[in-house]
Amino acid sequence: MDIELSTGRPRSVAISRVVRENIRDVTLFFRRQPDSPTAAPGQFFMVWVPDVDEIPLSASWSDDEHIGLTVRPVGEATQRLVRMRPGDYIGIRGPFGRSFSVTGDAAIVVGGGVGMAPLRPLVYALLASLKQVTVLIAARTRDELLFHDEMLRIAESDSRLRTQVATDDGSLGFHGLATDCLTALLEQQTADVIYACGPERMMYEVYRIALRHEIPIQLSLERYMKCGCGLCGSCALDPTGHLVCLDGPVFTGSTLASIVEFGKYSRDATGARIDEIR
Amino acid sequence: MEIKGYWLASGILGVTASVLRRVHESGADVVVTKSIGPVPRVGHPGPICTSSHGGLINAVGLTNPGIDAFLDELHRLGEWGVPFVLSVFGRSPQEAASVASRGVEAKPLAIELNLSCPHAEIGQVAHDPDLTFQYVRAVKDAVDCPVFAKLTPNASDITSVGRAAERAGADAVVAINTVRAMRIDIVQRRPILGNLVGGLSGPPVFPIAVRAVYDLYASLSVPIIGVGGVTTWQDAVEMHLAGASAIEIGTGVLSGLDVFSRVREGVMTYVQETGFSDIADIVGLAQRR
Ligand SMILES: Cc1cc2nc3c(=O)[nH]c(=O)nc-3n(C[C@H](O)[C@H](O)[C@H](O)COP(=O)(O)OP(=O)(O)OC[C@H]3O[C@@H](n4cnc5c(N)ncnc54)[C@H](O)[C@@H]3O)c2cc1C
Ligand SMILES: Cc1cc2nc3c(=O)[nH]c(=O)nc-3n(C[C@H](O)[C@H](O)[C@H](O)COP(=O)(O)O)c2cc1C
Ligand code: FES
Repeated sequence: MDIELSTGRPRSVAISRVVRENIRDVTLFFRRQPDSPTAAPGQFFMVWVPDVDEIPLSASWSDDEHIGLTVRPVGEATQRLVRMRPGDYIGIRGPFGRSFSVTGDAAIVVGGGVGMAPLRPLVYALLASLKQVTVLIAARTRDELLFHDEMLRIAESDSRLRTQVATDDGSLGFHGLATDCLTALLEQQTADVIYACGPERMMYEVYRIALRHEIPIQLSLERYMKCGCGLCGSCALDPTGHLVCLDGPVFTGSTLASIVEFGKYSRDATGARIDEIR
Repeated sequence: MEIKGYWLASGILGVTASVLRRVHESGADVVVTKSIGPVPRVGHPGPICTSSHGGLINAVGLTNPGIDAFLDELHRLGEWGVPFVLSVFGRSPQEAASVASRGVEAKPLAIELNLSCPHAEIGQVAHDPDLTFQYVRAVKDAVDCPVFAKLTPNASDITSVGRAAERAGADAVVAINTVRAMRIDIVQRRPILGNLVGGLSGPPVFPIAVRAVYDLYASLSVPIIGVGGVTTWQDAVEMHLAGASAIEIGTGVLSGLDVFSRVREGVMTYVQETGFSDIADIVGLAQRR
């Protein structure tokens, strides 16, 4: 048993670069130490924000030299992170969790809000193994679209990638929910796998659409996480006891079929059931 | 209840019925719940864990939803037939007794009284024999099921605390909880844990636990439940020889949920190959000189 490894080799890193992605989200890059692994698409880190808390964040970038985390400020820890400057320190444990697996020939990737973070490296991985990819980026409004410009740039030079946009307020692309846009999309084209990350309400709807079309699905789930490595139990799912940190965060549709709380309820920081999902 | 076998220690994964059932189905004979208090408690800010010298340091801070919300989980464990022990804590003997008496509604096999969380303001009872006596007596008076007292290795004299628990009617003592500890990040030059101080568990505390179990066995007549750093069957055999009737495993689940069955099988093989007929036959054997 290697506890150092199980707990994700706790270490501190300096922020090397800060990129503003849209009016809300910021990507922080840090250098990957030569002895620590790269992160596969869908894997996450536990990020220690000094004086505040430690929170889970997905890798939105990972290459030999750098790892990137894209943060949406929603509370104290994330607000502190988006104000960080190069040279500031954060603590890192990970990467943790099961990644997306690259399958099929034609994929649809659905990202709602900051849910695009783990999907960006997935799109690169899909294209690297010669897939047809349609990425559907959804946000409340055009100023909050994440990685839209980047995806458009790739699509300009790579015809295998198509981009679609849905905004709640209709400020760009499809006027309405990501799931309505997906339904419309599936009338024009088919896919042999759907990947999604975003608000659980959206993912639950995407799951049902995929079921109707009999398309295999992989979703990245969020639950309250304290340890990230299978110790505390705060991320356990009913009724199977799957742990989002170890057995997820990416789950297939067939596993999700057995999770009664998916799309229905979750738990707060004390472990109490709350009848709300994000 | 019979005090034997390989159990899940309190606070590791034990916050929902679903995951406790999974741990039982993966091989734990009995599961001990997270320590539950009277009201919901968020616990300490993160980081709540880090590693050190082959061990783990945690400062979860007794995160729990409170006994009222937790009763739903306990009832589900009952419906599913999962053998469970309810761990409780309280800021006073009366508070611990009232949590326990709410909890026994769900028919736990026993109440484990956490007197010893080294990084929560309310968990330092087991340093003091008199206070330990009052807590155990209050909970014994409040419930009909067996009551176990969980002790701290941080006490200067663990056996006098154990004797106080026994005098107050404890049906077994559980030793040990984590060892008070700290890590400092040398890059940021500050303590790592959100609570600054935490508790060490895993392999580095094993010899401390063996010593505690050995000393307690020598001076008590109630059974000892050994816990602390057990990850292999060899560790378990050693803990039995020191005097443990049953063994709890916490941090060892990081090596996989099959740790309970791996340990059980190894101990059984050892017992057979060395000519004993039952695990009970080796309990406390190292006490002879
Ligand atoms: C596997 C995983 C990957 C994630 N990836 C990203 C990402 O790439 N980018 C991003 O911006 N956000 C991501 N999140 C969400 C992010 O962890 C929360 O937004 C963050 O923890 C909020 O902390 P806070 O202190 O800013 O806000 P708070 O005010 O503390 O909380 C705001 C909301 O975040 C939730 N939250 C708080 N702490 C945690 C925690 N420890 N674990 C889970 N949820 C928490 C709360 O339930 C609440 O709904 C991810 C979450 C998970 C579980
Ligand atoms: C993450 C974590 C949380 C814990 N929470 C509790 C708790 O709520 N109540 C308790 O009595 N002990 C708690 N403990 C202590 C363990 O039950 C056990 O006594 C200790 O970790 C030593 O055993 P181990 O080395 O097998 O983990 C906790 C330990 C860990 C690692
Ligand atoms: S976050 Fe602690 S077990 Fe998953």
